Amino acid sequence: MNFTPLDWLFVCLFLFMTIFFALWTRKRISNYDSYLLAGRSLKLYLAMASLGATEIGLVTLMYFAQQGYVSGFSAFIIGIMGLFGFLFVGKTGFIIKGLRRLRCRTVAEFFGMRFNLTTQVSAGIITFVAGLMNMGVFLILAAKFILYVVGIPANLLPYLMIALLVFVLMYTIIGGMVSVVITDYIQFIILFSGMLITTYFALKSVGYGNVIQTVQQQYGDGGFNPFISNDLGWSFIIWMLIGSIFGAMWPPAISRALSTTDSETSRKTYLFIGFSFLGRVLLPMMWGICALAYFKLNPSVPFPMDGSAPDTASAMPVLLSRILPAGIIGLMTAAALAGMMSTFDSYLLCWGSIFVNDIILPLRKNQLSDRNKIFLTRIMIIFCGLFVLIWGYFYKPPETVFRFLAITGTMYVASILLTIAMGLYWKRANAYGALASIIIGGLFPMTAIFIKDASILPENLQWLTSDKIVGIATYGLALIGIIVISLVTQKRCPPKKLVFFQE
Amino acid sequence: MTVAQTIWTIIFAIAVLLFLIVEIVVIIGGAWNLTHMLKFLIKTKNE
Repeated sequence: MNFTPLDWLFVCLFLFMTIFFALWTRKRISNYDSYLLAGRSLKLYLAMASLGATEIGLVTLMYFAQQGYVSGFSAFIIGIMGLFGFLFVGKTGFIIKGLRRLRCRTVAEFFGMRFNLTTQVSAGIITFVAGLMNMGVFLILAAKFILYVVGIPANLLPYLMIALLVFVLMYTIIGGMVSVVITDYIQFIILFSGMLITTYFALKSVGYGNVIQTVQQQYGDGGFNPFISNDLGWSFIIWMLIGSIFGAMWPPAISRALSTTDSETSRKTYLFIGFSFLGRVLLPMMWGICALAYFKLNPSVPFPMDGSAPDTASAMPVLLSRILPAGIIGLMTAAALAGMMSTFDSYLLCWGSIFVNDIILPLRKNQLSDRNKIFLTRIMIIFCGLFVLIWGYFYKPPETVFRFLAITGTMYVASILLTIAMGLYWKRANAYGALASIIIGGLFPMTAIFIKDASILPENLQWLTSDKIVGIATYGLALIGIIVISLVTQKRCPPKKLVFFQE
Repeated sequence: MTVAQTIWTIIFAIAVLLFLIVEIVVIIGGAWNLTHMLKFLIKTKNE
């Protein structure tokens, strides 16, 4: 065990506070809106805290650190593009402002308003599937972090996963969005402070000069130039650049935008929190790069393994367990738990509510009472949690975890967000065109997710296993799909007009 | 340091600074907003 009594004290205090607020907020829920969207009463700074904490999960720290370890400083280009995406949305209100003025609860609800019931349910299904697969790796990464930082024996990994899941499920189910928002605020403070302190210790332990030198020795100029990096390259940058415009609009993040008091607050939330986005990416990447330098400078330290393969995702937690002083390691673990919970609870609530709002409810003839909707959402949250437990344990991503998240993210972005953008800003988009882009965008990336061995395909189809090429092709084909099919079927299926609420 | 190494170093320093500024602003402003949200929810529940 790497923990001292002081470290345990920090972690226990944090867990106690979280449970207390979840139980306390339970009494403040009066209807489904207050359960799901905190009564649409979020003001700017609280919305920023909630969005900031949601966007920095323990899994975020893990996969960005792994990307930093594997690509060196070139990985920083991901943060630059992410910042560009947030600032673009923050400046223009792209998509979020329109959704907020339509008073949508979830993104798929837009499809019912602009197109028809079939597209709404299809969008709900694709969002739900893409989201669950994306979230599938969260639990195992979180458990690995805790395992290495605390110093728990590796054979206890499955039990640790179950314990973490039960804890998060418990307080998400109890409190809904109100408890999520309040705990997000506490988690934001602990998380952001913990990340800054950890960056200081990581750089101090290896020295910035050694960091630069190791990356140069290990990856050459590709460690600093993403365009010539072996791991990244031109195709990766083009793929990420297209996605960056939509990158800030993953459903849990959008649910924050829909919970604000008005559309202007939604836009400002994105603009201001966008400034911290660069740090959200670059700080954990630097930890990963420091881990690379640490293991090169200390060859006697055993490198973490996953079976017979080196486990690059676990290099960062091993580094932290060795460099952080007593007390700080407990604070960082509490911060990491905060990060895990703030992301996990929002995601569980989001996927659960999408299943109820966009798949079950539109298909029912009779309306459900608020009480039954909350009950059904809670059941779905448990189902989602169990799926994440099983998927995370058995599925092994072919590339880095970030690359897996990027391709599952493309499923959602190319099918749902691209179609929403066309529905909001192109008057001729109709239900047939929308359905075409939902299907193409939702299904095409599956080739890169499930076909791991390119040699089983004919030579001219082997590109179907490259996430970078498939990612770019998915955007292109989904866009062509909605334009061509909409234009061809204008008479048979005239486009519907949207009615925006005044604010 | 080469040009690329210097650029990434500067970008990293900016990232840390922005991260710190956002944290301070959100902590202070968020406390006010939290009070407002809870008052609103209690009022809705009572109605």
